[in-house]
Amino acid sequence: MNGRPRETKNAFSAAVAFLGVATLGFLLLSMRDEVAVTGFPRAAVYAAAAAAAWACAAFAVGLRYRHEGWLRSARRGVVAAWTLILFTTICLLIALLSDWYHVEYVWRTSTPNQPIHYKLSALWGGMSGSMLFWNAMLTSCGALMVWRSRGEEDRLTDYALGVMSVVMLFYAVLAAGLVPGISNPFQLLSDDIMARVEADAAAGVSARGMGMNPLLQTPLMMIHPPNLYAGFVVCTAPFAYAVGSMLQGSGSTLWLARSRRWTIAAWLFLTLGNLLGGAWAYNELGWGGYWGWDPVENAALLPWLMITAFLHSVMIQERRNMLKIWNIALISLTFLLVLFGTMLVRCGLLTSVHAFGESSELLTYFGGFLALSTIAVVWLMARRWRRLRSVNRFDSLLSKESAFLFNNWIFVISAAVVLAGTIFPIISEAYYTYARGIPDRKIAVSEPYYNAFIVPLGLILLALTGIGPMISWKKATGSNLRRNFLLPTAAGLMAALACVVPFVMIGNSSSDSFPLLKTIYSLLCVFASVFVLGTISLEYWKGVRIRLRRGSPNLFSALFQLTNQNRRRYGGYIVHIGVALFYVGALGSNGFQLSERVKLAPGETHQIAGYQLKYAGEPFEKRGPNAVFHGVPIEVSKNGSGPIAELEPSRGEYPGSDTLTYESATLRRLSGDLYIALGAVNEEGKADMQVYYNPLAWIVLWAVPIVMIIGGAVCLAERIKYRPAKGAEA
Amino acid sequence: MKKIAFAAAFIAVIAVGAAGAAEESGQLTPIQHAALNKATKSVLCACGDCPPTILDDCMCHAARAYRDAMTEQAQKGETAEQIAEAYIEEYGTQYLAAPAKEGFDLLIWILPAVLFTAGTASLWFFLKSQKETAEEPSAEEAAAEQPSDKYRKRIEKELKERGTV
Repeated sequence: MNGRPRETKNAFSAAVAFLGVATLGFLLLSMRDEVAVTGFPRAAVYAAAAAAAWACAAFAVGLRYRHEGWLRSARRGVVAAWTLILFTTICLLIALLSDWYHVEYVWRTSTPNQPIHYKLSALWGGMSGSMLFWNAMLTSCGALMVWRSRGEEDRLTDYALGVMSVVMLFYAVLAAGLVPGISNPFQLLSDDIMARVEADAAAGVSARGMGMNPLLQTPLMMIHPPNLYAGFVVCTAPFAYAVGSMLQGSGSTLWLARSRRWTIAAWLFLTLGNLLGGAWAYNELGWGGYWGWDPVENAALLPWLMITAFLHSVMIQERRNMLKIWNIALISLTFLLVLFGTMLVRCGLLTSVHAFGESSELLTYFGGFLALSTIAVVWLMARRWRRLRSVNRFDSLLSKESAFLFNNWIFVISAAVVLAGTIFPIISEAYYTYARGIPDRKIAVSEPYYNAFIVPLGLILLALTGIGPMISWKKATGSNLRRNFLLPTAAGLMAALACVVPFVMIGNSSSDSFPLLKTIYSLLCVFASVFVLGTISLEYWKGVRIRLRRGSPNLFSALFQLTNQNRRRYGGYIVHIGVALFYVGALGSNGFQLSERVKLAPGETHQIAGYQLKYAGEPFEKRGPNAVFHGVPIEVSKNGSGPIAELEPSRGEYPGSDTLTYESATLRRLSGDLYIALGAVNEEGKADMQVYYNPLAWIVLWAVPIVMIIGGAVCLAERIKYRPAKGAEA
Repeated sequence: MKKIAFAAAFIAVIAVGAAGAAEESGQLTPIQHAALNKATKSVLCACGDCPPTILDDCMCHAARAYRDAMTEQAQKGETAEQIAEAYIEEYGTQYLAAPAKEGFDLLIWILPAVLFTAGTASLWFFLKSQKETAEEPSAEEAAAEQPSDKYRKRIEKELKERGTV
């Protein structure tokens, strides 16, 4: 028995004790001198970077010479970095809650009258704070890896932790403010700002902070960034295991078992992060949609596409010991795309509503690390090529392996389309500037490009969502195909046929450039969604029927037993239900959205989608804790009945900010959302509004996230047993 | 025939009259409305403050002014292409919602299609070649996959004992 469990427990006990004592000391000292005390957390970030650097070096020596002492020290380094980053994060929260405006970050992201929950979310509302928060999550992953491997001599995790500590060092250097472009979160106010504050104070204006960006002062911003960051950060763990496995030189599938939960967690966080980001855009940006193909949205979508492909292809390696190189390539691409996305957001390469700012030094730093990581991964893959070659072969084009490979291919090509659209403005600008001598020619790539490619690719993926799980391994027989697909295909066809007439009528009456194409896509979407739901229902029904025959008391009990017995498989089916629902919701809210620009004077009415809107009353002004809202009351009635709701679309004005927020008003019904965004109100009180009717939008914004959480949680609860695949090394 | 011609002329006069009335009252005819709609969906808001947003969706002050100007152009009978061209000429190519399908920018339209076709074809041939190899096992593999006589006899015996044969 090795001494790891005790050593690990001691390290964590010391970490917790340090956190308690240091935080208490910080609070006590801050009562005496708020300014001087900020030196401790400022120094703690440097110390965290040093601890991560130590961990890198110690892992390198320990793994090279198989020296347990060095490895022990390296693991302590990871725990130390986590402790120090956590301490700084707690201190920053204290600073935000205590209104320490002598700290520049607090001054930039908070004001005294900012609600307390937005003071807390200001932690990730600015560049330095969000980088610290990122580090807190990344080092927590590292610490969790140390904790989880405490009971065994786990060389693979040591290699993975070595890779993890390199990534931790990269981000800790950023959090410490050692690269121009991101400052230390505890940097004190600069002389310029101090002079401005003093001038304000002399003029009788209180020395308050600037406040967080008004667009971020919304409840969804309290959960969307943490989810997205968690998704980005957790992707590092499976990548670290993949690279660790290559460094170790083993061709085994152990790294897949070790990284399984990390992968599902990363996927779940990324999924929720993207969906919640869509919900935020829907509520805050006032354009009636939830996805605008903004470069930064794309940056979050790219790793999601890769990790989803990876989640599918690992099954082939686990079962048939194939696609080893491919799996390593996919998870490496996921990590590299996270880095690329972070670079886009943090370095200001592209214009976006989500971007932080511009910095050439940061660009060099990120670009350098991205290039080095890519070279390292490619070199390792080339070195281990022989060991990573597939043992088995594809037996038939009609098999689960082929379906999954095709699914992977569609995910990869989708990612390529999104990546090309995201970076093409930069490539085009460079071409016109340097090759053609036209520096002013810039281009944008937006919705029309993405819709042209992603919609058909998405429909293929949806069909594969129904085929992949049900088709047989190795070779599907005619009876397998009939048994699993005949009924769902018939159901899909019937649903599509039922929609032909209404879709053609709507298509003909719309102003779309290609009504026929849109109608065809819509019908295919209905067919494929019903087909997917049909295949899953059939699969559930087969399992439930057997359980009912074997004595399950009722349907719910049988369903529970079925799901509980094979959590990975049935959790996956639940996620697939979420995917099919997403397509249904997206078809309704994007394909059949009604949008009208409406100008109403007080007392006037307007009709849309069976609703009657009446501008009932006068423009109003409402005061919030730190904002003033200018809006108009709109009375909504349906089919000539009395008023069913009063909506108050408004614009939010935050002192000290030029940005006017859209406080859109939404009437939510099962059939769809009535959504009003107020543009402006003129002196006579005439309101200029954009009114949307978004059929089935609630499915995308509410139902899908809930289904994904349930499905993801069931998958996470899977009992993971490591069984080497046929022909694999143990 | 005369009746048809008369009816057609009557409909045309009514249509022109309706269009004229609509223009006078500041309303757009369906054709003008469609042109405006297509134009506002093909360009981005050029205010410089908004993220890249399709002009039709953008709610900022500047976007409303751009749309008003475009409405006037539509009322004058300009086509969607003419309206969009005038907008791009004034504000720059970066406000075109999608790259033009000509010159260097054509690349972005071709690349995904080429990638998809080439990749799918490669995948197809890869799977086919794998299948062919899998269908023709070597003599050693075939021998290895066949159960030995000893095992076959044992399996048959056990199946007989269970009464399944």
